[in-house]
Amino acid sequence: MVLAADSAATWGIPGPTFLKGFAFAALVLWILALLIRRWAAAGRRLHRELHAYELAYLVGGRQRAVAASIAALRSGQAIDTVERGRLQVVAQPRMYLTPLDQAILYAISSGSTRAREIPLNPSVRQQLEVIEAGLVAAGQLPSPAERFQTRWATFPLLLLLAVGTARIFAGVSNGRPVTNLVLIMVPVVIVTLVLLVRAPKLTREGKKSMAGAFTRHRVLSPAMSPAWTTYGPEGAALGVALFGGLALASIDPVFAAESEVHRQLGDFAAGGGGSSYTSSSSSCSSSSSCSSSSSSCGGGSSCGGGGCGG
Amino acid sequence: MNALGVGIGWRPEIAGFVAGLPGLRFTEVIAESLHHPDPELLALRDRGVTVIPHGLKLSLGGADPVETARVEHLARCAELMGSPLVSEHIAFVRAGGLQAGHLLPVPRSRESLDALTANIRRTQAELPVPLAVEPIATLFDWPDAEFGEGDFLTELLERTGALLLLDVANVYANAVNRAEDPIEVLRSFPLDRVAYVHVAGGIEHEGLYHDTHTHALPAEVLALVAEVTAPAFLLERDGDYPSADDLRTELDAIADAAALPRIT
Repeated sequence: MVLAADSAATWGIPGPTFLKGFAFAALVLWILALLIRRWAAAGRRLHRELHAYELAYLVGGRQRAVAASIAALRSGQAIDTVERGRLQVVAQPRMYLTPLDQAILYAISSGSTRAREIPLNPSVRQQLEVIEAGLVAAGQLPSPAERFQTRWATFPLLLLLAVGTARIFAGVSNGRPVTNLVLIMVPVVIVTLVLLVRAPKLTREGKKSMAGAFTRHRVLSPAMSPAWTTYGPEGAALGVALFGGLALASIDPVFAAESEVHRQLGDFAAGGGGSSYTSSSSSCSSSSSCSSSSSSCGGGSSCGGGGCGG
Repeated sequence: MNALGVGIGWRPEIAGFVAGLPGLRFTEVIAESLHHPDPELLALRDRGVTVIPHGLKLSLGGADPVETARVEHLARCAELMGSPLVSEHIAFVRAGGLQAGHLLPVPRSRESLDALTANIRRTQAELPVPLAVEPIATLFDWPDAEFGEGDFLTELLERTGALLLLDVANVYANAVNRAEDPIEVLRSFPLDRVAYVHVAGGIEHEGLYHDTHTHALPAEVLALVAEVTAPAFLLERDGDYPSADDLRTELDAIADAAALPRIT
């Protein structure tokens, strides 16, 4: 009887044995994937201060870096809106210009007048690539090789899932029950999907630098109603880098609304990886300045409309 | 109070600017905002900057006794910030259950001197540190004053032993609005009891000078700074904040007028 049952087992491996082996392999490969990712995305500790646009890039990518520069140029009285959604260069900027600022001024004066067109302008894109390369070199963003490694760390799990799927089909055609295998595969599929979807955008050191910047520059949080004239273009750039559309709306509410920067630069107001830091670092409970007008502003992503802070 | 030089009032809006002043040795914070002290302010305290709690709502000049909870809060502020003294205004902000939302002048009469004396003594009894009181700027005076402002202050400070928080912008505002000579008014004050000095900007509008704290420092106010010898001078700016350069220029102008080191 026992012998007969064994010979009927799919691929000659009895169900319980396969299940145990599958579960063990899944656990090992999952831990392995996590370890590889941890190693690949460690990054390197920073030995310099990040510039506002580099921080913007870490918080919300290229769009946020462009928005931060637009805020600085506006604060330096170099740009204004011509009509709804269109920018124009109006004066010689009263500020030190970084290469990105210069490229953006050039892009606007050569026809890329909508905020959404600016990151696509070749000279702007070139400067954004310079910033990105600098962040990779500083160990704040994963290099292409490290990104490749984190992606391939999940590959063994995918192979295992393929084996499991094949076993299900084989088992069904063999007339054997597959319920337990399906049940054990569900969590493995979930874990694999999470690994695939949540590939680290920043290195661990990059995340640390970003968190440190939110703490160091919390005086620029809209919850403090920062005196933007006092903080000048550099403050405006840092404010928008870290706190996004809400900061721009408090720097210049009319410009923020008319330029549609927050709408045209995609999700920059919600702030990608930064939104969670926004809500935790500008925690109103600890700030004496939090009156009724600012207490609703701590939530980061809820402030995309720019309705508060004006 | 020790010679602390030139300072600027701490406000959350300019917290980054204040923290960035290399020579800053003292600042002042609105006591009523210290229920939830800001981490930036605590960092200044930990850096060794003297922080003076400045009350707005005690209503020392009210006919009613000062509220115990408010005095206790002022005392807690002094303990929390390790302050050498606290300050409040010679004014009333509520009466008959109504909040004025504004500092209102007291009549310069014997009766109000008695009420003020009683309230200042009640406050001093609860405070762990000395109290400095500040005469306010006012656009009107109650009729039938029994004292000039200087005599009223001298009498009050003699009775209570309180120190004087001299606001030269208030002196200037009142003198202009009463058509008096600011320097003469200043000299009538008990200047030997000055703990520290407030300096602020304002603007003249339709013949009246308004002590706004949101405009530039007039030269006339700076001229009064040069007339006073005091251990510390504090710039009060409460809104419409100018560029960092402009703020530094004002701080330097105060330092120069007071013959104190620049802090910028």
